Amino acid sequence: MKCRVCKGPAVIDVRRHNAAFCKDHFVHHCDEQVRRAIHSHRMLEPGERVLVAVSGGKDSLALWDILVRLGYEADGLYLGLGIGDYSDESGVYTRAFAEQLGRPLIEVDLAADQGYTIPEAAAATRRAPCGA
Amino acid sequence: MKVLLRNPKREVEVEGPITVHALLQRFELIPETVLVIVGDELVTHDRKLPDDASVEIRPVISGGSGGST
Repeated sequence: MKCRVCKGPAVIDVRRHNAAFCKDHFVHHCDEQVRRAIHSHRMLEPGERVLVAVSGGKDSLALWDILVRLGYEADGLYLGLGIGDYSDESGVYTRAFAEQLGRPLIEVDLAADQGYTIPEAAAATRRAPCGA
Repeated sequence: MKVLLRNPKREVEVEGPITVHALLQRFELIPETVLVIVGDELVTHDRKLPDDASVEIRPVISGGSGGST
């Protein structure tokens, strides 16, 4: 399978676009998809300031990266949920990513700022953590 | 070949050579829902994998605190 753009070896097959891409052209394809979505849904003006809520996972960090690359003044917002090692690890990833990106990261720690963690809120409300 | 799968995490031995497409069919996986990695390289569904390949099949959707995916 070959890259639709450069005809070099493809690393990913995007079936819904009936296309395959090499690494560099896949990244460019993702940038273009985000740029078009912002434009067609009139989400943001060029160069506008944006606050991106990031979890530390690949999806939100990738979006933050793309928005910066597209020229937006995008800062990160990370919510420390207090879910044990999971939250600690997510925070480490997010801080390292912000530093690499060279953009400010605003952190809100639920335990320190609000006096409860998500597991505590889930127990108090008798709900699953996602719905607490 | 050794195939590393997630959810649950397990390692399965599969006889090669086999295409990525056929490998995914064997595990009843929908191609759009996973990335197939050989070494540190992503591979497309038409790639034929040799018997000595070390393959990882990683779901594209992850998150939550239910363990690493």
